[in-house]
Amino acid sequence: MNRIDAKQLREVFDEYGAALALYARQWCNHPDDAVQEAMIELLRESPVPRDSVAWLFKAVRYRAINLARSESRRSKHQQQSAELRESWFDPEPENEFDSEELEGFLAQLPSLDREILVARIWGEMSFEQIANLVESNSSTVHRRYQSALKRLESLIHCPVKKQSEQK
Amino acid sequence: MNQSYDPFESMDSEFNPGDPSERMSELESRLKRMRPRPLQVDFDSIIDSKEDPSAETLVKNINKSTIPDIPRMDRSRFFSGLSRIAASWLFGAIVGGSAVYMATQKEDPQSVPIVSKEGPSPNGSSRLSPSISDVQPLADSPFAEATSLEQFLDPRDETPLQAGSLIRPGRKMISKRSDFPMQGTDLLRVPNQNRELPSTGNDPFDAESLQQIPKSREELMQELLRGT
Repeated sequence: MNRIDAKQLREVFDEYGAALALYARQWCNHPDDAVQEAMIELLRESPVPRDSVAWLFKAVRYRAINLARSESRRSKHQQQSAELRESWFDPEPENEFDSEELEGFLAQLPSLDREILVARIWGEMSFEQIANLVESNSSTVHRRYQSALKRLESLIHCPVKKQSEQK
Repeated sequence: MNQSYDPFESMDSEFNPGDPSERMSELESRLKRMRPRPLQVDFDSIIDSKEDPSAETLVKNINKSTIPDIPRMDRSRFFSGLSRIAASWLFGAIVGGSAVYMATQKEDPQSVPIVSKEGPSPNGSSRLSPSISDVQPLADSPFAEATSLEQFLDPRDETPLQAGSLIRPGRKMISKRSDFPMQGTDLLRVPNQNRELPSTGNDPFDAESLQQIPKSREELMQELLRGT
């Protein structure tokens, strides 16, 4: 029985835990549950997946979508689910961007572009890994990533556009 | 893909001069410095759950699951929407049926009287029923009988078809020649006159003259010489 041991899992947990939570936060309001379930499943997985980090992202994706479905069933009003939302980033004074502002910029991106951006920047995944994750090809993922970055840059540097789009 | 035209792109380039790839890498590094909210999960609980049999039901085989990207619509919402559509169709059918029924009732001539027997409205306004105010004085006048539709009826229409009548398919009925009004159309049939032409008494073509034996040329010359 070749399974992942606690030490290896701890390393993955410390390094990618926050990124996995941010990735899951795009769909559900309880990303910690999705990450925890994915970690438990990785612990039980035998044999150990070849790329355990990519496997975890995929598992978290499915878990988060499942959780989002159950959350939408429980909360009848969008307002309630909005109140349950936590901020996506750690609010620190030395941050380059305001946490809520950056969250707003990311929310304006197309869902797939945002997913690719989060997996690439905070998940530190390669384009090939992301392509496998979103079931696309590397060139498409790269193109979408570039367009997402351009879009984000325009949102950051153009306050007029930001205001009009937020309305 | 969102490759649409961006009117702000040129504006951004003016605000951010430099190589686009450098700007992108700079933006990447700035974004990486933003730390996501840390995971609030106790790692020991994950390790403990490895041996916990209750966690077996919690974790499912996600590799085999096929979850769509878009969350599906709630079943109650689906049925409520379906019932709304059905109700709208039913309402439309009822309204349409009643409209057709009313239209067919109005077209029936027996149900609508030509002249209303009711008097004018108490307030004297003829706006609601203009036919009453228009028709009522005419019915009381001596011309009412003259304007009756009966005078336009041809009595020949009431006579039954005779044996000599012909009906050609797709054409009008042809009756006897005598059924048509022939006055003024036949030169021999002058009204109120005898068909025979009046006789002058000296007609060389009358019956008596025609019965005589014709004279020869010699006899005629002798009569002429005698006369002279």
